[in-house]
Amino acid sequence: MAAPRRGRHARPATDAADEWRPMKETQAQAEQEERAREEQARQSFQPQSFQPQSFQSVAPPPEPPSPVQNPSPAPASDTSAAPRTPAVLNTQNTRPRRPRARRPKPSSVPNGRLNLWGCIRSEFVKLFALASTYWLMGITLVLLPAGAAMSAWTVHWTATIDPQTGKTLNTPNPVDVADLWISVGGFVSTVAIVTGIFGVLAITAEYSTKSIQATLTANPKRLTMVMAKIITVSMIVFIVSFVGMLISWAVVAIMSNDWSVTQLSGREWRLPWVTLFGGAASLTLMALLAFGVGAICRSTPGAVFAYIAILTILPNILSIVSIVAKEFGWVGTIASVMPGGSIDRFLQMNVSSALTSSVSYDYFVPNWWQSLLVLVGWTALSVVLGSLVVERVDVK
Amino acid sequence: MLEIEELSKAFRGKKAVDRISFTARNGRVTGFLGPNGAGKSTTMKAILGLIRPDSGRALIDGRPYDRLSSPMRAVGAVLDARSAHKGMSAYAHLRALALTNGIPKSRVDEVIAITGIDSVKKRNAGSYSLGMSQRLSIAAALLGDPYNLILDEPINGLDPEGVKWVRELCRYYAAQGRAVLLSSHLMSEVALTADDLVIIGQGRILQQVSVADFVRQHSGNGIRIVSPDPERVRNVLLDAVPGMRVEMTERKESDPPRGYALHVTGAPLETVAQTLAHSQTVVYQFVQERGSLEDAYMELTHASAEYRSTLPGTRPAAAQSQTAKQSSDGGFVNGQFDEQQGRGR
Repeated sequence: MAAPRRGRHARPATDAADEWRPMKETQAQAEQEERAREEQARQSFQPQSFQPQSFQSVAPPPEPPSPVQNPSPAPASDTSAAPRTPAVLNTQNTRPRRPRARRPKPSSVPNGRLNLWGCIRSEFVKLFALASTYWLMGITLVLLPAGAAMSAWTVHWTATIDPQTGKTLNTPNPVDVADLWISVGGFVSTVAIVTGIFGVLAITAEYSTKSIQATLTANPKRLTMVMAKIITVSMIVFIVSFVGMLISWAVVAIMSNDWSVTQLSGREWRLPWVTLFGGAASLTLMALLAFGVGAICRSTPGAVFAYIAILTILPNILSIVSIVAKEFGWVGTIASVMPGGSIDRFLQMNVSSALTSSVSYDYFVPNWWQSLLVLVGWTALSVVLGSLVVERVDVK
Repeated sequence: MLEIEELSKAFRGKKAVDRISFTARNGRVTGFLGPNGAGKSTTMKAILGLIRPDSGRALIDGRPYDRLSSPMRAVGAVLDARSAHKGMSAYAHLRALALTNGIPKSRVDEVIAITGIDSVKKRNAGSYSLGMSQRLSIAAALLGDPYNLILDEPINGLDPEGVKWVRELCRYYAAQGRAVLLSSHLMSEVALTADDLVIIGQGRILQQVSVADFVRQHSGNGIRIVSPDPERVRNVLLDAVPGMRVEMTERKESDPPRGYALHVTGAPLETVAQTLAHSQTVVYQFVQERGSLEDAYMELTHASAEYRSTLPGTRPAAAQSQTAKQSSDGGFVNGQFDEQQGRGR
């Protein structure tokens, strides 16, 4: 159909301009007519370019009421605008009534509600649609067994050496099984960096790509969003790292097949459970800690740097200070409640062996379950602070 | 229906939005116009809860945004074109948004078909052109088939067909009885699409009027004449009807290549035409023109434009419009037409 020119250029064919008429009537009436025609053209336009059926089933807006009088001599000059709408021209200075606004008809979208489970599924879709997830989880699955293999090999090598003389023994000492279990979890504190980056990306990627706007528009309840992200990140990291620990266990078991290995003594029965589940748990806690740091920083490089600083740089500084200056011994306490060292202290369960040093300290050093509490405390603090920041800060 | 009541927000001490109140009614497209930096995006983000206002509130169908049980069903919002994660495909992005509100997968496919990004839905959003990203944002807004639409400059980056499509979409939604709030800085586009106008400048509402009334207010009864001898035209017309006003104006692109442009007000078309004809005055162009909406809008917001730019090598224009209004003569002698600035009066 020939679309009429709408807007202020929609002028009808000149019908009354040929004759001279007094100014007032012509101007006002011409303006009225033009405006009426513009309105008709806009009202009756049917959008044709929508394809799916849901739009076609909507009825067109109702026609305006029929006019009172029709004094103008040329109503038929309405070209292609409105075959259905009658010409609405009247002598009073009122424009034709627009169709009353109707309530929107029930749409094709069934009434869904905002719910936490939907948000969790949404976060899963988001995380699994990104390549970074697969890379980081793949690196985790590779690094954990690799580190375990290296630690186990070191344990074995140590067992073949005489500790006093440093010479190779003819028959190797039996390998302490506790050392083997510790070596299964040997690389956990290093892989904590990888899972931490995963946790950071889960929140900072949204802020850096501005997709936080779309997310918060769909779900204005920010705490629900944070909760959904936390649940999703913990589930993914826990499962992947547990699988990684199992693979590390398998690798070490295969390697130590023909070594002579001692049995687990009575006090050490918890070691396998702590290693497997505790390793996965500490990686999950580190991911959540990094998530909190990411929520506070809301920038990927800043948050990654802050997280790595908490894990490695800060304890180094504190340890050096406590070693160098004897009167700053209490600084060592602070160093020992940093999350980085706590992971190893937790997993190694204070088993003194060839791998763990049995140096006695002047200051307080947490034992294994205290280290777990330290980790949980750090994570909880970080997550709470991060949630508060996300809740309060404007998204510009 | 969107109700904004006394909304205020200041960023670092500077008021971005200063106690604005308006209503976007059901069944109408409300055009939210203002120059850059006027506070349009801030207002829209405050409605959606992305920005917490210092005072005032915004209600959507009577409730604040974070109290809605199904936000995507109540409001569809297009804020920023590039608001999808660059590593995700359009399909994943839309599916993730749909899942939060319990919207089925079939609707995602429907919306992709409506907005026409079917062919690129599996590509990463980082590889999209601006038009495709804009369509993706519009798709995300339409996911819940919302009762209200909030569109923040939706036609940035769209080709003319896309612009026309957005216009039809807004009118379609309004015809169904929904409320549409459309923000733009282009008067011409908003005049075609909107029913109500809210003009904002420097955080304050300058005018709140319906489009029809705005058009009526700013349609002058001017006649534009291009003539080789403006003095003669002036004398002839003033002799015939003393109350007329004849002013020099600047030339336009569409003018004939020779002649001076004049703007005549205060007499009907026929009188002027017959006077000129009787006096045998030569004119190259004789056109009745209505006031330009663009000019009216510029005049309204000129004082509150945040960012004034100039051409390199020129002085910045200081309050030109005020000096223009004060001169009664019409500027024949002084020549108010400043070629370098490109604007007269």
